[in-house]
Amino acid sequence: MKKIFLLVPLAFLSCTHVSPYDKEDLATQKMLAKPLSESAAFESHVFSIREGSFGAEGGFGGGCGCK
Amino acid sequence: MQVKKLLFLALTPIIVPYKAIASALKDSVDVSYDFYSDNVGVTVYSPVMGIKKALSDKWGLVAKLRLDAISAASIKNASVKFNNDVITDAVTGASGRAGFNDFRVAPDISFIYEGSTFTTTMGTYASNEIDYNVIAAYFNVDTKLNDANTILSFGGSYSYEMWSPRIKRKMLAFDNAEKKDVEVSDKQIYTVSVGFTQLLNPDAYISGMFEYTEQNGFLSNPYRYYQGTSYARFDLYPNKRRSYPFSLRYVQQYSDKFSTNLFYRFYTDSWALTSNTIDGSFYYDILDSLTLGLKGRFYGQSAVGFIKTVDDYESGNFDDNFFVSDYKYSALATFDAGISMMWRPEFFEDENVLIKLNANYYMTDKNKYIYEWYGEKSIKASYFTTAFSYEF
Repeated sequence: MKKIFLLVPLAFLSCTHVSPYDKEDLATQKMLAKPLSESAAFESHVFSIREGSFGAEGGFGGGCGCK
Repeated sequence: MQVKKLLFLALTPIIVPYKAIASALKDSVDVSYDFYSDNVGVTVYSPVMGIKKALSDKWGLVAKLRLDAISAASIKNASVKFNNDVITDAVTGASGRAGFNDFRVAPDISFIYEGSTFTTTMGTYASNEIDYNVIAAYFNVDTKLNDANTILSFGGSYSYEMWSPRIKRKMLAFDNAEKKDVEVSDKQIYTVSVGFTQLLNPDAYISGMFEYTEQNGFLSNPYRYYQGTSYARFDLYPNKRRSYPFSLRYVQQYSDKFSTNLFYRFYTDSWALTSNTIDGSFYYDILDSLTLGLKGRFYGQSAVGFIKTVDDYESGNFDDNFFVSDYKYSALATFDAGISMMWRPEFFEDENVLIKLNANYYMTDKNKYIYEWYGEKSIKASYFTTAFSYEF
């Protein structure tokens, strides 16, 4: 776990300023955090029903009875 | 198309890859259909309809409606004696593996305000089932810094949830402050989250999120019980739970055609449940208009601190206030694999149609609590999503 925390600042050290005209590739569908946003919402719902933990995935999921 | 995209980028100083906020004010219609089926008799048919409408150059409206038709939603048709009261599942006559036992309606309406340096989303959500109702509100603010190379996010939500179980029972939870069981049938959930997205270079970015959630009230499942050789008991959990998950996501493009999306989440909570989630997706453009994806996910969790072994429950060898028959609070590992397709058909004008298909297989490891409840050694499920989006 500590190694992961150490990697985070290393990632920032390697970053360069990205100009607006250099962001074309970042705007493509496959570069989105959730390219399959519709199925991601359903997946998140399935996992929250079937597993004991939840959260920190972005977006509001809303509750259900999920018996 | 390429020229149009470059022109759009030149005129738009802020492109936010994390949530595609730049396109949030575009008018669109979205229709998707989710399907889920598993080996323990649960089947879900779930169509979702949504619209996005720009109300002005800064305000937008997003409205969604999800409908779930769920079979076997109300567990087994059991008839069990609790304290000399015969308590039955009210879905009388229904089979656990046939028919739709529940129907859920879940509307979600949100407004988006897009300022020059920040974007705010405010919304309200409801969910209605025969035995469970939810009303919720949420908000999120994304602040764009450093020429939108850095985005800081802050969000929160409140949810009020009410059980009306279809069986006759007293609903109890353990109040740790008062050291006794209290009668409660509702649940309140507060969530606060903070996050960031940082562009690393023109081909990669990293994002992270920390979320704090507090749940109060009836936090177990009112239908869950354990029937031992000489007794039967409903599940009984504490009436408060605090959760502290954080996640990191790293998205990298290696060529014009190939990208990866890696996700890690660590979760811990006041019930002593900890979990690790690793998720990796790979996308490859086999055509300019067609992208294929592969996904793999591993999830592992520890048990909550107040669970006892199945053998202890079977023998009645415990003197705890708490009682847990639900496998999702036991030590558990799950695996998920999926394939996907994203297709923007070129024969539509302006390529403004996006079709997505996604198929997944999900399974848990072998688990004694699953076997006790479902009669299966593990849960195996398949689920699919078909989505159609049209941008005006």
